Amino acid sequence: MIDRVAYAAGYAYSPRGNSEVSQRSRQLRDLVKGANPQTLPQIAARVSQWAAAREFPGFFGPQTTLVPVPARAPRRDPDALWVPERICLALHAAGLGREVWPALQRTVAVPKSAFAARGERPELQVHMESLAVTSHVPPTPRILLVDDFVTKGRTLLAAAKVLDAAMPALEIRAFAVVRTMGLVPDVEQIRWPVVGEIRLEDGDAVREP
Amino acid sequence: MPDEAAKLLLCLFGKLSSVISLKSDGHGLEMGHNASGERRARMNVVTMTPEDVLGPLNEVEQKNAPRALYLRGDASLLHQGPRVSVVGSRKASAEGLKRASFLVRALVSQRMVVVSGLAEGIDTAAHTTAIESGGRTIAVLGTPLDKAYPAANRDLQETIAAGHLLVSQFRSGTPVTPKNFPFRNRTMALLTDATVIVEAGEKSGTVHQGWEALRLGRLLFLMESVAHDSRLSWPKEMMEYGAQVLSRENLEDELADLPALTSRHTEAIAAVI
Repeated sequence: MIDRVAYAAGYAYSPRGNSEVSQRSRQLRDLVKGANPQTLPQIAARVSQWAAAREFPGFFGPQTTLVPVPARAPRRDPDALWVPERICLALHAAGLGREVWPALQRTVAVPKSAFAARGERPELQVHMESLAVTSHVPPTPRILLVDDFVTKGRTLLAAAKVLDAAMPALEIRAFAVVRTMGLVPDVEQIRWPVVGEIRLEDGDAVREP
Repeated sequence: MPDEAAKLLLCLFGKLSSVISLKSDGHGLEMGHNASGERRARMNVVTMTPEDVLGPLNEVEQKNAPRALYLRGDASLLHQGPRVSVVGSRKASAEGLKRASFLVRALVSQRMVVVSGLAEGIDTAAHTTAIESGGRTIAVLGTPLDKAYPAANRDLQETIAAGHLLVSQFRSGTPVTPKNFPFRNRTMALLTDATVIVEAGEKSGTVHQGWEALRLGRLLFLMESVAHDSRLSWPKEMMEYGAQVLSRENLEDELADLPALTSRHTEAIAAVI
């Protein structure tokens, strides 16, 4: 079973910083969390530019299948907002990826990590046990898990491991629109494309950068 | 509202559909001049669409959004930071009313706009505490703006119109029927970043708002007392679908991290995308 996944992100945000850039980064957070129908296509267009400039080598392409990562709780209504799905659709409309493939679903809610007290954050295992594979027919073997935010990377790593366990032949990468910069007081820039890795270390996920 | 203020509103919201002048006889409003000469208060009702208020809606928001919103009062409250709905039972317990007031004071201290439905009980406590604490409040009505329902809240409704904001999706003349209130609850969920259910029974209409908040991807909080009330089935079900428990212990952290999900800073952010 895989213990690491390559990841990319386009933007950075500061949860608590007071600088003007940090405050602006939270405005971006809010628009992404709200699946703003103006903002998501703009982000997809920018990601398309980055992809064309080889900022994210191997992540996007005509053979890439986009897989939205489930939110932290199941959806009661099939038409309920699922932000990663909206992001996938925007990326697909921008020509990034061959198809949107909703192959994962959340079966039970996990505590909201961003709001949980220290020591109570959902562990990787909790994430894995709450995810289920809903399709075993991938349109292409190259999979890009897509989420709105990445903090430690538990959700993305858990999703990658669950998908890999069900279909070991898949080539899985992960993309988050925004990465959370919780360990520094402020962010210096918002538009900040990076490629890195999320790996399993001492039973938990570690994200770099 | 003075004419100059109405013109300012028109400048602020360039896409306004219309501004209608109404007059009050103290027992509801009617169009135009009433020759009886009774005490009247001139006011302006501004008609907007949800898109005027929130910007373009995503598909999930579009599904249950009303065609129009009738506003009376300070429409700028729809653009002043996070808005939080505080809702619950009409026949609230004394403890529930205290909890509502405690919560509202915390929201006001964080400069959040308190939204509720002008009903008796929790709603009334939410509005009155917001006003008494120096905060801002929006009442989303299940009736047209020219109806006072419940009648006992007529003065509160006028106070909110004068210094805060009344919102209704029902045009003048729409009959007042029970089926309108679930629609109102969905609209309240649409207009706010988060909903807090303070206290509600098994069959309470407040539950409609909770489910709509979850469907819209808005934050839904259940006060600890209702979340763990074993007599109720809906809190457990809502928590299975993403509702969070709000307690005195986590209130400060939750409010500090509250995202403005209805934010429309799209132009400012477009520059950094």
